[in-house]
Amino acid sequence: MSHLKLNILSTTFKCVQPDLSAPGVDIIASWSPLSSPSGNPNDTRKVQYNIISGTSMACPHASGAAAYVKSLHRDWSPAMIMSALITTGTMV
Amino acid sequence: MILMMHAATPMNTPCNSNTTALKYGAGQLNPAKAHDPGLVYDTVEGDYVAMLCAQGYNATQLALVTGSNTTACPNGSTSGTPSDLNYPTMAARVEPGMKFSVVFPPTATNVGAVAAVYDVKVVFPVEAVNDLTVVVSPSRLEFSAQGQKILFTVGVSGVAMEEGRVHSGAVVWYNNEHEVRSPVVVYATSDDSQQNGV
Repeated sequence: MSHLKLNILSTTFKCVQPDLSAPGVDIIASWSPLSSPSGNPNDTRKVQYNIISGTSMACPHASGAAAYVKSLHRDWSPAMIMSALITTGTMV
Repeated sequence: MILMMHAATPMNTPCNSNTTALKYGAGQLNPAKAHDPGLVYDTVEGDYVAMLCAQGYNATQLALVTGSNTTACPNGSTSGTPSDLNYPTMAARVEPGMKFSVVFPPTATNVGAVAAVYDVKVVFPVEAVNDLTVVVSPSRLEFSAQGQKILFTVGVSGVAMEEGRVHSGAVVWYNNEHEVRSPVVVYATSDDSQQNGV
């Protein structure tokens, strides 16, 4: 399942937005002690990990996939790597 | 049984839900395939500059983006359109009820086997057939070297749907080893300022 910011359409750029989906729902990740796990100012707990959803959680998956492709093709441009991710996406 | 029939029927691909490509783009990323895409659509700095020029960026605005005062629009012109940008997805806004014709000119770069041949298939839901015609030319790409580039055109024409309707499909280059899918979206609205929705 994916969580995405939904753009209706970029008429200016004439490409499909969003380009690609990545996992972003109920993702466990490390969490800063400067912020409470709930975001509530009355919540004084400090945690090392939290589970949240959103593009902030999906973006690292996409970045990691891009880095993986780059690691196998050091000479590829960013556009080539993005193209590789987009054209091989699994229809959901 | 009904579910099985649906699973085997192309028109029940996510494409026939009218806004799917606008929700999911090309689908969920798949690193296991992404490292060997077969073809890529490459773009270099000059292409992005040309795109900005086509949108009317002046020298001052260009310098803010490129970080260089020496960047200039090609031939000082602002000809061309943003859709000339070599990009793996294609979208067109069309005026509801009006005849339309859009041509995308992508360039595919062979990053797979030295001698690679790809055929094309155009995948659109059945209900789109009445509204639009998609023609890819040439319909076969024959590569004889790695890094070789071949330009093709994707022409989308027809009579635009009613306001708010979306047709979402794909142009797919394929052979036995690879499937290179580019989402194609045609979206009917008379409001060309409607760029960001939900």
